[in-house]
Amino acid sequence: MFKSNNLAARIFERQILSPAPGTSVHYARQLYENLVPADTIYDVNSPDHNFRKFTDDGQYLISFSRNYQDLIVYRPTWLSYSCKEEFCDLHDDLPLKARRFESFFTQLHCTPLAATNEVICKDFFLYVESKQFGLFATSTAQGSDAPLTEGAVHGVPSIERITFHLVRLEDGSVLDEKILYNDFVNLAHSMGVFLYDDLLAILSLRYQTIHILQVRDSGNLVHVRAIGAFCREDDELFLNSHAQCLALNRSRQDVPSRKVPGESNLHYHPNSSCVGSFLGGIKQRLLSFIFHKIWNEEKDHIMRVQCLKKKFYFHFQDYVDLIMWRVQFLDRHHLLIKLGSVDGGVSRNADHHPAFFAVYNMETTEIIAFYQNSAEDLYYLFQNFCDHFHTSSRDSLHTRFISSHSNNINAQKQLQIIESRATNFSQFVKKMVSTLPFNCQSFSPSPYFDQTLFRFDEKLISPADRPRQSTEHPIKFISRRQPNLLKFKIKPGPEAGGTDGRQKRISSFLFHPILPLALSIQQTYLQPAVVNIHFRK
Amino acid sequence: MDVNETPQGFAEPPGENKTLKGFDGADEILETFRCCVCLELLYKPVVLVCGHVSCFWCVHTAMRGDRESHCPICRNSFIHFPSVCELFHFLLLKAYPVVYKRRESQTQEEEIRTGVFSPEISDCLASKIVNNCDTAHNDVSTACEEHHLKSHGDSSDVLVVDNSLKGNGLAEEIGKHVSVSDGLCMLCKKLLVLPVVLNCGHVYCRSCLAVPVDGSLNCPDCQTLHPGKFPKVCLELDHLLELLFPKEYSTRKEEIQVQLDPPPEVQSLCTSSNGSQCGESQPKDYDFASLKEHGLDVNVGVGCDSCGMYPIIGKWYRCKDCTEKIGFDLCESCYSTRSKLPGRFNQQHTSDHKLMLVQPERLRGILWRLEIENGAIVPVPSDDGHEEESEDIDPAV
Amino acid sequence: MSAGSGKCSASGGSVRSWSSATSVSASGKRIQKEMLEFNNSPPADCSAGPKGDNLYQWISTVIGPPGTPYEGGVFFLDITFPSDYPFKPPKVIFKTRIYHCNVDSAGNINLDILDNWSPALTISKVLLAIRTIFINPNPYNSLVPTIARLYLTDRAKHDQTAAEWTLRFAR
Repeated sequence: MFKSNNLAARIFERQILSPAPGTSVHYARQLYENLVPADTIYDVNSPDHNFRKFTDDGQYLISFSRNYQDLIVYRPTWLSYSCKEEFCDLHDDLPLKARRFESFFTQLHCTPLAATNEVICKDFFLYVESKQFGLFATSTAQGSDAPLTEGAVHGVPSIERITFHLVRLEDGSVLDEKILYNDFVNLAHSMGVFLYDDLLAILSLRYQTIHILQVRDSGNLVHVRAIGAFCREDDELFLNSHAQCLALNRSRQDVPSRKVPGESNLHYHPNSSCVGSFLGGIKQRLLSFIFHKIWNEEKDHIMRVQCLKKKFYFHFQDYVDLIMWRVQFLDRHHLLIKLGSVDGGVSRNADHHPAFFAVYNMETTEIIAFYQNSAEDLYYLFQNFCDHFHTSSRDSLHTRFISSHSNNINAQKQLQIIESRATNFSQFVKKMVSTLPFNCQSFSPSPYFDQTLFRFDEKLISPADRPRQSTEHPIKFISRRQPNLLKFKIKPGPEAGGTDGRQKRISSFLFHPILPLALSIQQTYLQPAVVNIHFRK
Repeated sequence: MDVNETPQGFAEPPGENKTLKGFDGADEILETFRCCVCLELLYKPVVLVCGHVSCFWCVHTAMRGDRESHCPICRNSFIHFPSVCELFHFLLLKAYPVVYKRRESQTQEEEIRTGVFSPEISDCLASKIVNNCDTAHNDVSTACEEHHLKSHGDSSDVLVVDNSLKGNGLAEEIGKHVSVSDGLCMLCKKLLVLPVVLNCGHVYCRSCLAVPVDGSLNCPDCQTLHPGKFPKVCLELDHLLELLFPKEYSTRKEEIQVQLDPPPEVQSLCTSSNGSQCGESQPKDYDFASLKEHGLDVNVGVGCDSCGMYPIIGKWYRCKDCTEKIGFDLCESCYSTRSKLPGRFNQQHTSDHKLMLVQPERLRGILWRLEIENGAIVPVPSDDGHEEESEDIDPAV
Repeated sequence: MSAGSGKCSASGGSVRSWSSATSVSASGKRIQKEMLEFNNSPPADCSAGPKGDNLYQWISTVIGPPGTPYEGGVFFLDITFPSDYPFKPPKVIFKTRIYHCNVDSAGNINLDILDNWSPALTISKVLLAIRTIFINPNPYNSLVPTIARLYLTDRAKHDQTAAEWTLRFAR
C-alpha cells in the first residue's frame, strides 16, 4: 500500500487508521477540528480534466479527459513542497512554484478506455477498495429507435453497447471487461450498479435481470448468477434438462451471439429460453409473497378470498407490470430492490410514480419483505438503521465516518425538524424513502462533513456526490463546540468572484477522505472550469 | 406491512356495493329455482326430457345447432328444444312475483336489443291456449302484455296486493293467492305429483301418463307427438308444488305411493336427478355420424318451430312470409302434419303463409361447426354498465 | 320456386334462424353472479378474482395441496371468460411453471370438464377439478406423455421431480 512521504500525512494515518485500542472513531476524528483546509489556491493551473472524485481510501484522484476517452489517475500527495529557504514560515503565501496542481497531485497514468463510438460515462465510477480496482463504464449513445428484442421491456430505451471495465488503478491496466448489448443500465450516479465487497450487481432495466458478478483477486469479473426470469443459477439448465421443454427447445433457433473474441458478454436474454407466458422467477416469488401475506392475515377462508379479491387480484396486473428500477446489497445475500412502473424507471423524477421495495435473499430465493414507498415501517427502519442502507462493504472503513441520522445526534435532530415541519406524514415518508436505495459510494467520508464536528449549510454543500449551483458567498464550516467558531470557508470559483453574476455556475466539491485537502470545481457554461485547491498549510 | 392498504397510485378497486348492485333479493330464491346456466331465477322454464330445467334462452343458447345437444346438468343428449312449461312459468311468477317480474323486464330489454323474442305467454288459461287458439294466440299476444302479470282465475286480485308486499319468499301468504287449480294434472284433475313435462310443455303426473306401447307418446292435451324418450320427473317443479301446496301435496303423495306400490314395470322411469345418464339412446335421432349414410341432411343452425328439432334433420321448410329476423322453419314431419303450433320465437306465422323447401348448404354446416369447435375466445372489453367508471389502470398520474 | 331459392341463397350467409344471439351483458351478469357465489363459498385452497376491472379476465391461485409434491407451491392461473360464457368454457392457463402430466410447457391444461364443457359448470368447479388433478393426475389423458409415463412407472421419481419443480418455480 502506498504510504505518503509527507510527515503530516503519516501522522494522520496513524491517528485515524490505527488509533489507540478502544478509541471511538468520532473521538479520533476530533483531531480534524483544528486541522482544516482553510487555505485556498484559487484558479489553480490544472490540467483540463473532469475531476470526478477521490477514492474512499484517499489513494487516488479519478479524472476523465474532456472528451471522455481517457481515464487519468492521480495520487494525492497533499503538499509535497518543502521549503529549503530560511524564514520560510514567515511567508504568508506559498512560493509560486508550489502553487501548482502538480505539487498536490502526481499523475500515475492516463489510460484510454473508450472504444470507437463510445464515451466514458462521466457519472459512473465504483472503487473496489480491498483490491484497489476501479470499475468504469463506457457506452455508445442511447438509441431512441431501439429494436424491439424479444423479452425486452417496452418503453425502456436501449444502448447498443455498454462496457464495464475493471481497471487496476495503480498502473491503469484493464483487467477485465463485461459487455451488455442492446440493453439499458442506469449509469448516472452509478444508479443501476451496486458494489458490495467483491460482489457487483448490475441491473439490466431492459431485460429486467440483476446480474451478480464477483470481482476476483485475479482481476476477473465472474458472472455468478442472473436474477430475473429465473432465481437460481441452474434453474434454466434444470428446466431444459426436463422433458417438458425438450420439444420446444429443439424447434427454437438459437440466436447467434455476437461474441467478440477475448471478451465475455452478458447477453443473457431470459426470454430466449422457453418462458412462454409464465411469470418470471422473481415475479412469482413476489406475487407469492404478497399472496401469502394476505392469505395468512385472514383466518376465515371466505374473508380471505374476499380480501384477496380486493387487495390482490384487482391489482394483479399492476404487480405483474412492475419493473425493477434499482437494486442494492444489504449484505452478501440480501438485495433491496426498488420496483415501479416502466415510466418511473426511466424518468428522472419518479416521485409521483408508485414504488415498492422488496428485500430478496438470493441464496434462499425468498422475498423477505415487501413495502410500498409510503410504508411507515420502512421509514422507521430507514430512520434507525440508515447506515446499513449504504454500506458497500462488510468492514468498510470509510462508511463509518459518514454522518447519518442513525449514527449522529445532529443529523437525527435535523431529521426530526424536517419531520415536525412536514404537514403530511405519508408524503414525508415517501420523500424520505425515495432516497432509497442509496447510490453506491455516493457519499464522501471526509471528516469535514462529520456533523459532530462541523455545522454547514447542507443546501450549499453536502457529502453527497452531486454538483450544486454556485453562490458568490463562501461556504462556512462552523465548529459544533462552543463558542461555535468559524473554522474555515470554502469558496469555489475565482477569488474575485465571477465576472458576470447572472451566469449560472455549477460547482462540485471533492473532499479527500483523510487529508485536509479538497478541490472545488466551478463550471460556467462554455468556459473552462475553475479549480481551487483547499488545503491546510 | 402495507399490502394491507390498497397500493397508492394503483386504481382503487370498485366498491363492494357496486358489484352487488342489481342482485338484491336474489339471495332469497331457493337454490332449486335458480337456473343452472344464468344462475338467476328460472324465467320461462323449459324442462328437458331428462327432467332438468333451465330458462328458455339458456336452453336455447346452450344447444349446439350442428348436432345433438346435451343437458347442462346430466349431459343427457337431446335434439328437440321443448316448449316453455307454462304451468311452471305461472307457479314461479306467483311464488316470486317481484324477482320474476324483474327477470321479465330484463329479458325483454335483451330481446328488444337482439330483435329475437321468446314466446309470449298469455294469461288466458294456459292449458287451453294451444288447443283452441292457434291463430288467436298471436293476435292476443301483444294485447295481453299489460295483463301479463295478472294470474288467471280467482287469484288475480290478490296478486296485485302481493306485488306491494315484496315478500317473495315462500311464506304462507303466498298460499292465499296461489290455488291448487294452478297446479293440476290435466288427466287426473288433481294436484300434480311427480310431474313429467312433455316436449310441448304440458305437464302430467308421471303416474297418469300411460307408458306408450308402440313407443310413440302423444300429448293427451294437444295431441302433438312427444319425440324421443319417455320424460323423467322434473324434480324442481315437484319441489315447487310441494312448497306451495304442502298439505295437498302430502296427501297426493300418499295416494300415489299406494298406487305405485308395487312400483310399475321397470320402464325407464328412473327419477334420478343428476348424473346418471340413461343408456337408452335412439340411434335414429342422435347418431349424427351415420346420418349422411342414410341420405339425411343436417340443416345446421336451423330449428323446427313446431317440434323444436334443432338442428333440423332431413328436409327443411322455411316460411316465405314471416318477416321476423329469426324466420319460421319446419322439419319435414311437422310440415307434412300441417302443425298448428305457433313459432317458438313469437313469430307472427299464420296458416296462410307459404312454405318452401330449402336446399341444404353443406359449407354453412362446416363453417358453423368450425366456429363452434374453435370457439375463439374474444376478450370482452369491460364496457358493461357495472364497471364503466373505472378505466384502464394507469399508475401514471 | 326459383325466385324463392334465389332469395334463400342470397340470404344463405345471413340466415339467422335459430342461431343463438349471444349477449355480452348476459355473460357479464353470470360472471358477476359466479363471483358472488365464489366469494361466499370458495373451494378449499383456491381463490380467484377479476384482474383489475375487467370482469372477463380473472386470476386464480391454487395452493399445492398438502401431501402432494406440489405442497408449498403457489400456482397462479389466468382465467379468460369468452364473451359467450357460460356457453363456451373459460380458458385456463398456468402462470406458474408446474411439472404435471396434464399441463404442457406453455401452461395449457387439459381438464375433462373444460374439454367437455357444460354451461352448468362454474369456475368453482373448474378450480376444484384442478385441485383434484394436483392430487390425482390423469396420466391416461396427458399433455406431456413423458411425465405421464414416469408417473405410471416410477411414482417416487415423478414426485421427487415435481417437488423440485415446485421448490424452484412455484414458491
